[in-house]
Amino acid sequence: METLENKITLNLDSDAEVNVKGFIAPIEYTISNFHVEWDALANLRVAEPEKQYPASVFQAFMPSETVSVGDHWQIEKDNVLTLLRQLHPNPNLDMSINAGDSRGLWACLRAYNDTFADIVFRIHAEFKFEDGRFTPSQFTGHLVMDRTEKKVAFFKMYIPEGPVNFDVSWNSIIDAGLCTQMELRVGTQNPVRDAEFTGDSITQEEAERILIRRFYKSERINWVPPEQALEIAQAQQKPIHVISIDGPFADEAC
Amino acid sequence: MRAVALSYDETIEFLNENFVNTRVSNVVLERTPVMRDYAAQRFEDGARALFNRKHPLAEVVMKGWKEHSPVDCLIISPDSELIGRQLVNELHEDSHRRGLLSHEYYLTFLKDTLDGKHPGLGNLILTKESPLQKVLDVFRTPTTGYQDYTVVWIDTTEFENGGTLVIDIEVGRDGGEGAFYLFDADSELSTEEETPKDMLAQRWVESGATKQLTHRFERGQRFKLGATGDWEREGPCINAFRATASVQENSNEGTSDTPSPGVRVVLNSPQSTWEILDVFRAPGNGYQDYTVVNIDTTAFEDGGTLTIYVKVGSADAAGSFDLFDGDAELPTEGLPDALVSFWGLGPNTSTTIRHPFERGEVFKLGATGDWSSKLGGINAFYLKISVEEN
Repeated sequence: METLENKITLNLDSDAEVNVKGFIAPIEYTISNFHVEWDALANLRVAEPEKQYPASVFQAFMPSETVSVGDHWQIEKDNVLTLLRQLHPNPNLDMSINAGDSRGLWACLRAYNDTFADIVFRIHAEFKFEDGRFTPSQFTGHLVMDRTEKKVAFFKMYIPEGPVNFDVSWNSIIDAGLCTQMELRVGTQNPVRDAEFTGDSITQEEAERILIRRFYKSERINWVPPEQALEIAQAQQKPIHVISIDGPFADEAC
Repeated sequence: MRAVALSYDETIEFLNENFVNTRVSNVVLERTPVMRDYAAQRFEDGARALFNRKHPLAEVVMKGWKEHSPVDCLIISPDSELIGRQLVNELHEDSHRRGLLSHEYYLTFLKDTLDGKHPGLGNLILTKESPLQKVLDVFRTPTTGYQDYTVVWIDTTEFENGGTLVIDIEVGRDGGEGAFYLFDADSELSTEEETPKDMLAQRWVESGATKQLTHRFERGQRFKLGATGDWEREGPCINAFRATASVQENSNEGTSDTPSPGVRVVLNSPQSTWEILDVFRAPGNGYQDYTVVNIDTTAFEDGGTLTIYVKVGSADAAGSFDLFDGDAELPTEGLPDALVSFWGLGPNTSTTIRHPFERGEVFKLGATGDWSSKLGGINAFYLKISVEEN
């Protein structure tokens, strides 16, 4: 049973200022060469490499109620849009391609101690171009709060790696590819990466699983890595159910 | 796929209980030439080391791919045999055909694989409600051995009293002839036997032709139809074929009617038009040598008008076409006593035969060479057969 002792409240000092750096690496990989043929994609660069924000913008990532490790909550949309505009002027959270489980912004308390609280998040968004759209697989990342100073100690919101990690539509024709860096960042190093969180933490993978299940019910299926599937099937004498898919299965770049 | 078929509690529970579930990237497996180029650039760092095209599971997955399908759902046995396939692009249509919602249909698909029905692998399930099913696929000339089978699974288990399995096989016009062998479902298909010893029936079908294969069975069962190219042919060849399988059910009284010879087409409301390509032979003056097309219109209980568009090929022989009642004995000589006839249709010409009928019935269309054509002369004919319902 949960007690009030393991619940915490997370509030930032709203008077503080936060300096955010934005990065978009030139896109070098697309399956159908859109990064060469489509000017908007070829010239995709960060809108504002550096920008100051009031800390209240990051309060959007904080829960409105007390939480314990593993709890999850919805992120407030408007401030996320404000941040995404640093990358590109036209972010959109109401995804154009919505399979019914595509939209959402969720955060989860992964760990905390007296000094820090580590919030992991997952956001689905797209950018609208004049003649198309750019849909990242997801924006994931951490917001590490300095609980003593009530400040953002570290923040990184980025598109994770994958065989492909974005999907684009140019005049209604689809392509997919890899963007090696698209991120917003506060600070240079995550201070909790090597910190101890005895008793009040879950792993990064556990936090990611909690978040992905807020989007995709199919993540309740026990998926195993393909390189292990055959061995497990032979041991358990069960057939293998394989989804062989052009894009990723459990994100929006498909 | 993710939201449509894999987000329902019953399906999730069934998958977790009965399957090992995994997903693979077609990009990593370099499914298309552009993906191959992309992967060559993307994965120079060895990111695919754990799972790549050489992994034993990947090899089975790649064999299971259907061309131009962006998402294949494959079921693979622990012994690495492909035992089921559902293409996402066909999920909606397949569900509709079974009268199920997509997620209900997908669960049925999963259950069918566990029941050994090999769904999606050219699988034709014939039932009393749907006694006729079609599949379109390709066969290949074997590069080693004598056979390189494309397998069509045919399920007739619903016909408990047995019947006659009739398979009309049309082969594409791309040069290669095909050999079609019917086997029991549990027969092992050998690629090394020049003439498969376990086959139940066989048929060679030339390029552009339509032939029929029949097999009488005593109890409903599952079959495999193996389609392969001619092993003696020089050079690789791939050709298309369409197999239309139907069952003429045995009655409970155990009557043993033998099917009428010739191609059989069944017209009904969902499919009221059929096309046939075949050949006729010139019998000599005063004789008939009919190529027979059995036309089943019994689904049209209130009658209608049978329309047959006929076009004769470009060879020298002219054709004569006679429409008979289904129980008529077709003459081999003399003037035929037909319901309607058109005689002397010359090369590269066409006509349309119409016949109104009061109640659905089976007709026989006989195609033969014109009496004035040179004895033994062969020409192709094309039929487009349709019914306009009353």
